[in-house]
Amino acid sequence: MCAPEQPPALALSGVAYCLPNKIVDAHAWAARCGQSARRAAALLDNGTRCFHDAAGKSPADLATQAVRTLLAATRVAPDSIDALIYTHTIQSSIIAPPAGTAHLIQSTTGLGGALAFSVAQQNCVSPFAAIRTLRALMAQNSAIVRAIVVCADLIGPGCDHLRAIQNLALHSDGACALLLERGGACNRIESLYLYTDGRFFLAMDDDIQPVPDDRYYWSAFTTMRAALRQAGVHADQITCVLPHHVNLPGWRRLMAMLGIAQSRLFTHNFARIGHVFGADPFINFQDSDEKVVGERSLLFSSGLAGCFGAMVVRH
Amino acid sequence: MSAAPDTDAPDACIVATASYIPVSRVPLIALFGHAPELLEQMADAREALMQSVYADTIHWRQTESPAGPADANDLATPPDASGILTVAVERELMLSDMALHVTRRLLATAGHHAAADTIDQIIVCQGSFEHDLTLSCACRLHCELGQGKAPFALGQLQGVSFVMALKVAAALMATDAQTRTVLIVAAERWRPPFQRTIGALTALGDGAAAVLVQTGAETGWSVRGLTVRTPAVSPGVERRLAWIDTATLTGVIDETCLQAGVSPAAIDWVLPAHLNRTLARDISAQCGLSSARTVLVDAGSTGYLCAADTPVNLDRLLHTIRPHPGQYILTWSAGFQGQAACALLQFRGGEHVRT
Repeated sequence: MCAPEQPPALALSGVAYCLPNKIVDAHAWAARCGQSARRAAALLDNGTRCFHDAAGKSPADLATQAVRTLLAATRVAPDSIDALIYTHTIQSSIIAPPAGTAHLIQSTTGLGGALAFSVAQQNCVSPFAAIRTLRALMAQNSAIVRAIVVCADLIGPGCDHLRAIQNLALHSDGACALLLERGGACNRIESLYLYTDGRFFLAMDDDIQPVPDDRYYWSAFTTMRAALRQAGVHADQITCVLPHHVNLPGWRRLMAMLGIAQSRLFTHNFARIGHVFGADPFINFQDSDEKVVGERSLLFSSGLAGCFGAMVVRH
Repeated sequence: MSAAPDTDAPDACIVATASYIPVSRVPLIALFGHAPELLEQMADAREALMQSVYADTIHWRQTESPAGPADANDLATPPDASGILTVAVERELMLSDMALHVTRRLLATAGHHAAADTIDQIIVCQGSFEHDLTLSCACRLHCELGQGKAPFALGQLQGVSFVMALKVAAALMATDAQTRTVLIVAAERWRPPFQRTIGALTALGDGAAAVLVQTGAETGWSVRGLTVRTPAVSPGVERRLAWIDTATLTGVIDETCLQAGVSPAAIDWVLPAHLNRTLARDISAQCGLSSARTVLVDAGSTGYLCAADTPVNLDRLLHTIRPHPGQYILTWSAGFQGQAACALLQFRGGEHVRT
């Protein structure tokens, strides 16, 4: 048997995101879908203020805009992209079969040379799963040099009442595109760790809300700790933690568990944009000013069904 | 216009297979219009929620896809060249129920096989929806089996999904010493309002399959070659809602054989996509594949099983043959936006596990 091939060094060379223009605040959301003002107040208390509303746009439209913005910002030629991976949290964030969302994004953005497919069912950790898949494919095929992972999700009108996650977050519609390049030195991915905790599968109540479970903290903490170990770095070497926008009070607890100063948690976007599904840590990556060369950020996301993912990036 | 070249021959071996096709058959003529149970189901809040999200996806298709609002016309034409007379219809199980059922069937039969002891990775392929908004089939399998790293699904490739999953499985096994056994599970269950007919091209049936892939196995079907292409459509080119790119398809078959150094005429069994009988025969003829060795397993009765098509029919083929070491199976598949894939499998000897 052959020795395993080394995964290639992979860099997160660019990030662009697309958020719909329409912004709805927590009180307006509560009013429009029959929720109490008390619930809106509880959301505000937990750092959630508003969300972006796609208002009829499709996930493919949002993803296409994000990819176009990424290509323009990075000045990368579309025909130099060797792979396009579409990811989504909600299974219905695609256009109906037999049409193909990945194909549509590929064709409308001119990625004629890309291998286009989707990675899903890791919920809000799906972008991390896509990067893991891409890295394995790159190791086997030296022709794959440059790729885009794009995630897009939205809450349709019939699901508006499901936007809130307990009183801890409001789902926000949007898309985020990542440019990933083999061998890039800047923003190199030093580790990528995914963990699925089967104990949380179907941990939903009758209102399709996750059941509070204190074991969440331990699973989230151990996932981030594993990513740090895989990167060979200590917690105090992380200058910025780029979180998913769920449960800001819980993040204070996680930072204490990690032994990282609270000031290193990037909280700028919690209230500003809401929880954009799997896009949160990458939007934060783009918006963070802490990307000092040689220093490191820790990206984290978790999703329904006990999905957890963490990544260390060296700037 | 094509994807990055990839015809590597990874050290991956299919060591066990299982399939499940529901017994119920519905004639094509009965498929038009919505199923009668739909209105009763709408009374249920969760059913209403699912119908709401289904309606969103169809609305987006009508506004985003090249066929535009006329897409329903593209779908409703009854198949005339597909050779499909009835489709298999699952009436009880949800998609993930079918996936779990076929996986348990596989593991029960393959229990004595070393590969079945520890599953390191689960990959799911599906093109149809789970009838539960938040349920991940991959996570359900992971939870129920209690094995494997973070599971995930590969998609947006329809019939090509399984070969893509095989490709990713091989890549994961090649780059991670801890990943030696991968379980690929493909399942489809089509419900209203989604139509089962894809114009004159094909008609969709329900079914599921599970395939166990292992690295370094001494027995089973070794992956000797594998090619996947996903061509884009150039701006200004008019396309219908669904089409098959025969040029890309013949290209991936030729390339796979060439890379493996195997003449198409030397293939022992050709397993085409079971989406259209005329297409299957035409592709075999164009690629120099023997028509006598081209196997079409009962597609007229089950319909096209989309993401589950290749693994279901591979399992059914393996039930009927007694291969010798060195013999080849070539399988090809196609997506509805021109995606194309081909895999070349070579028998290593020993006993292949099948249910």
